[in-house]
Amino acid sequence: MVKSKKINAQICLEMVCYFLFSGTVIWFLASGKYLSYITPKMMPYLIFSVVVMGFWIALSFWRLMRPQYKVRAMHCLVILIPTLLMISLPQTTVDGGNLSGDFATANTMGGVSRPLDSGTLGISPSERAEIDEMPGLDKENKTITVSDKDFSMWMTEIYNRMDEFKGYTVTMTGYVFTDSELLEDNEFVPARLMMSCCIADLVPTGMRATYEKAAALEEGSWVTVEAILDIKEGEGYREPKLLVNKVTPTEPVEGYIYPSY
Amino acid sequence: MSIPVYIVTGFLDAGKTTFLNQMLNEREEMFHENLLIQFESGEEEISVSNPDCVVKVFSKRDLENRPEETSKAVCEAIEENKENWQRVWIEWNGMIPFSQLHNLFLQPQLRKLCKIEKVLHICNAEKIEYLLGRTGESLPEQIANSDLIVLRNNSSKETRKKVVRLLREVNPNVNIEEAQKGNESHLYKKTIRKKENPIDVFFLVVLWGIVLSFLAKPVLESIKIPVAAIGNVFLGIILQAIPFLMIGVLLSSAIQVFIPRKWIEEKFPKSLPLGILVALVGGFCLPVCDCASIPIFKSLVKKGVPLPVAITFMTAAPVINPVVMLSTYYAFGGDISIVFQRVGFGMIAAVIIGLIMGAVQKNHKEALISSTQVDGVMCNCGCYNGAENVSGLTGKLELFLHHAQAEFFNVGKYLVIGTLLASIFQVMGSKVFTTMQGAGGLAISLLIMMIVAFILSLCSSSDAVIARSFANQFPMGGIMGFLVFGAMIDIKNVMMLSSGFSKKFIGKLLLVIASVCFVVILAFYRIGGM
Repeated sequence: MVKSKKINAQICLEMVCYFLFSGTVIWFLASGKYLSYITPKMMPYLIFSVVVMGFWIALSFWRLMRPQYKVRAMHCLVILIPTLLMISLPQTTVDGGNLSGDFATANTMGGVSRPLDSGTLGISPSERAEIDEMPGLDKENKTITVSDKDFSMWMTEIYNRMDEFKGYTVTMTGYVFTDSELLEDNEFVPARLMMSCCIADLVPTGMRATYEKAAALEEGSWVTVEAILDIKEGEGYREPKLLVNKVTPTEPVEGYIYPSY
Repeated sequence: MSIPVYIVTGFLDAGKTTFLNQMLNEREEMFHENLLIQFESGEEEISVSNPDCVVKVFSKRDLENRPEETSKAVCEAIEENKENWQRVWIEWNGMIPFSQLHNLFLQPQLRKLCKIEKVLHICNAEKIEYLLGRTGESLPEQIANSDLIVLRNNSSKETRKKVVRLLREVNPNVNIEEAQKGNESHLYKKTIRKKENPIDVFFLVVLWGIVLSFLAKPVLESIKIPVAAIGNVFLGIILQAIPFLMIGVLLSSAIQVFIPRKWIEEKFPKSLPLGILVALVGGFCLPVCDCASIPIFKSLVKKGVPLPVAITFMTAAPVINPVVMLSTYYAFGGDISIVFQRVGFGMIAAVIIGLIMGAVQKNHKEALISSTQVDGVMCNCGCYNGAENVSGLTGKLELFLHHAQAEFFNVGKYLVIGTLLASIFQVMGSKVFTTMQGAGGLAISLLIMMIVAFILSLCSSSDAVIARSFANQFPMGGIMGFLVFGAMIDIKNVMMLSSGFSKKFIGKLLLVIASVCFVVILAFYRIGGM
């Protein structure tokens, strides 16, 4: 059997595509750009894919000089297309399309028509911060300043301890969401987009806010609201709500929020 | 100037010599000096009218017993008159591996002189089904390496369809022509025509794809098609699906390579109920989304696991695994009853579906596109060794990785198409869904939700969130239909199944899954009065 000095074109092409894909994924993960498409939970899975591809690259090296008459190439599009998309798509937080037109509140991503019992969101104990050390909490002045990165955490905290925080002044930033049948004319939601698993399940998440001039607010515009925390009671449920004092237009906030489990 | 070489392969009596006679007697060939090398003496004599055509015959025995000498002789024959040969034609025996001939032409002296332009395979349509799989590895290898296949002796349309299907299993997308009276010139033109380099075609396609997408984007956006959103959703779904697809093909490949068929036949529970129980346990233990369960399902069926068991596994795994249960729990605000319902319905439906499909698809093997005779010799990733022939850990590992890689690309192709469809539906369909109401009773809502779930093709670990958001518009029965049916099958899954199963089977499966889910959930909600 004669050793061929010719490089197997198909295996070479496959190897190049593996390199491109793995490299792009690593860049995507390292730069944080992947957060626009999938949740942090998926990072280990993508790393796993890169490792598997590493094995395939090794296999390709081994077989690189193997003669092959019939060469195929089109199958490489399977990994080339995602690679090209990763490189070319603008990684801004784009609305993936709100499927049911609904919004989510802290009792996980659900509307309020269904009575839920004991709706404690499953937070791992390690994530419960000490009462006095929560970022943005000022017990003396009874204020809560919700920073953009703590949005998700505060949503849960306020929901779980709404009685304790009733009457506090809350400041938070979100975009104006009014497009829901569950909202009255004088209500809106200062919302952030939450991704629980992937871009397909993006849901506007926030608290119901009462504001007399709500109807005049532009849908989708970014605002910082200052409001008093109150509790809305209904049939079999209680949820926090905001009585808004002040609405200030502000710069858009980049990034999705993720549930704390 | 490389001399083009045309290789004609085929089994004994397939008609290679007849074909060669036809080609060499074409008008154009009259003006050429050609060299014809035969490695087999067929029943027919070569009778070429052109005196400038030289025929050299080597015997198969020489090739087998004295390969180096024979290759030297072939080299000399070509080199003798290399200035004048227009073409070199080779008649190659069906029992000798094609790779031997290929290696011959890779030798440095010949590589400078000539280049293999086309490999043809002459195939006797009546006999090929019988021959494939019974005559060793050389025949499928030759078919797999052919650029053009010529069918002779084709008697009917059904035979042609069957034979084409069989050939395409071994060599996807190969050109197949029929040899009929009077189309010799047509065949000749097809033979002589220069073939395109697949790598060049690939780069061209990529380039054109990039150019077209730049051009099309503003056009599509002007007619309100949100290209950026579709692109983002597509990438998000694919990035999530690829790792699970990899898990699926690795497991499936492991089943193919490391688990001998005998083991399954002996060790697997003989009784159906026990087998189904094993399937449910397996589904529970595999925390993967539906992208992974399909390659595993294919592998299980190929290895001889009873069809009802395999189907129960395939439909149960995406619904009853821990990850899905957890995400459902959280999506519905810690409401454990929803989780119980989803798991319960999932298991009941999966078992019933498995049993029904087992009864409906009596001939389990017909479900697969690949016929077992070919399978025994090669798997459709192009390796010509069945796992039984490969020995040693390195060999098996290599086969395992190679097979996983091939299956990844094979199924991945359908995943990409399915995801594209799902992305379009998800982005464009959002407005349609908001206007849908749950009025019209439980049955209609259930049906609508099932259709929505099918079209959206959501991953079963994330569909709970979307289902929850529909909870205001649709009754709980409808939501349950979304959760159970959507996890079991959707557009993405149907596409992925096409890579290994016949359309008829997939249609039957879809119908059964839909009916069982519908009936089970409807009955429960009606009777339970929930």
